[in-house]
Amino acid sequence: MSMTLEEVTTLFQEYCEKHRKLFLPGPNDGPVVKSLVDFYSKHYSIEILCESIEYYIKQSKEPVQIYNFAVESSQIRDHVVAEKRRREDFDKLLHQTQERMNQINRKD
Amino acid sequence: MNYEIALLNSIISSGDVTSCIDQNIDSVFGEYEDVWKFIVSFHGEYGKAPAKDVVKNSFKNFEFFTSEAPLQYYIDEAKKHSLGRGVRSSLYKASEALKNGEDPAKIVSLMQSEAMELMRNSGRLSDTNIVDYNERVQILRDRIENPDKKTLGVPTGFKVIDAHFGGSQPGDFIVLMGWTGVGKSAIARLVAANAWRQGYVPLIISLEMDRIQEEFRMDTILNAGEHFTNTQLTNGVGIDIDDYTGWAKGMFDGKHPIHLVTSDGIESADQNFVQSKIEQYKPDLVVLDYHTLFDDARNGGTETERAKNLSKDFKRIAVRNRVPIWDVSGVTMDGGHEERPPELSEIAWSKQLAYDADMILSIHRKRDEDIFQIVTKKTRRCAPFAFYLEWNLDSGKWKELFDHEAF
Repeated sequence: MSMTLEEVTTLFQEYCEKHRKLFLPGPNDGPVVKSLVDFYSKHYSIEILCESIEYYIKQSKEPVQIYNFAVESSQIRDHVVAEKRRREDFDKLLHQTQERMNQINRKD
Repeated sequence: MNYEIALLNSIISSGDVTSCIDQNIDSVFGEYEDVWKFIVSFHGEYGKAPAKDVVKNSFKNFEFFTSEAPLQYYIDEAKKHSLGRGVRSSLYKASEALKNGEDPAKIVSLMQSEAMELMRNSGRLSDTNIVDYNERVQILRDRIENPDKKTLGVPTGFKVIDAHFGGSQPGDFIVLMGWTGVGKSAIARLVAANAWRQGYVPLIISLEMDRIQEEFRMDTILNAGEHFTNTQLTNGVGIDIDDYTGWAKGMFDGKHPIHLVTSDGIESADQNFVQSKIEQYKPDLVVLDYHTLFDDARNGGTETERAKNLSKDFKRIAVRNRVPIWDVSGVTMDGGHEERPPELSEIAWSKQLAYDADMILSIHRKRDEDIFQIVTKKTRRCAPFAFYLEWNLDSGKWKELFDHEAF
């Protein structure tokens, strides 16, 4: 998955709309978004960036600024990554359980 | 003759210290406890009971005689006398407390606590020799010959849990944890209702809900969407009274009981209260709803300490009474984690719970959805498992699933 800088900026606005938060554009939004996209593309993924943005906006009790997100993003990212792993673990366990139940049912 | 002296003489002459240790006789000794400890210590060091002269060297005034009856007779007599002494002491303390004008409710609680201790000491917690396998052969034979008993314990009604965990077995302490309001209590009642349908007697101790609400809730679960909804029952709207009466007659008349204890009129509901209710009703399965609403008979200081004490004691009560206990525990929402089942570490007394629980089921449901995620966070005797439960709480209809797009 890849996104342009404009698309990421628009994503902030869309999530703010979705979660009824005020979006405050900042003078350095362009360079900050570029830095975020470069960093996440290199070390994580754009999906993680998008999920982090939504989580940040959803939790935010103040008007949303891209710069503030960038400052807090490492903590948010850890949370998002951990939650993603939990979901994957649950799905894996669900699948294993289903396999075992199928085996039991076949024996019966 | 003093029963302690008689028992000690029999131990010394028979030399059978091991039988005594196996039968947990420590508590029968009072006045001569030091002699018993000396014998145990000597046996530990030299592998045999001390001879009379050895005991005489350390306890000059100890009285010796030749015991005629077998050792077991003296053990049984000592336990009987010791229990009698304990009962007398407990009654005396209660009587004195009453004379001094103390609160009778507190005195009853104290007596219950002492009664539990006495039962424990008088041999209710007995040891067994694993080499004696006959009972296990009988259990397996019963299960093979009788398909209805395929699940070793009380069936939960959930195929996944019964196939993996073997139902709720005697002594199990099973914890249902989830964020507040996800439907943990409802699932605990579904387990109780399913057990009842299979012929078992459940006991539900609910400190959370009113008696009538509880009864309507059980009606809803047992009716499974066939005649009425929970809303109709609680509001009394759109329900045919003859239909309800007919359903209730068919469902309950002549059947074994479902015991429900609510907090109406109860001053304190603690570990002793749970024990006394189990003794009163002799259930096959107990539901405790919910953990932090119970009082701690041991008066733990902080909320976490109280929760830990309760967890430890509920497990002991389950083992002592050979009954499975389902304990409902709420987890407070923190940091927006309400989109998934809680982790064990998110319970304040998680370490204690990890020691005590035989199985911890973490439950989650999205607000206003009918799909529950159920996942084990600890299992003592099976592989971890997970499944979805589709359940309309208002109608009572439910089924297990493995695929659902809600999550």
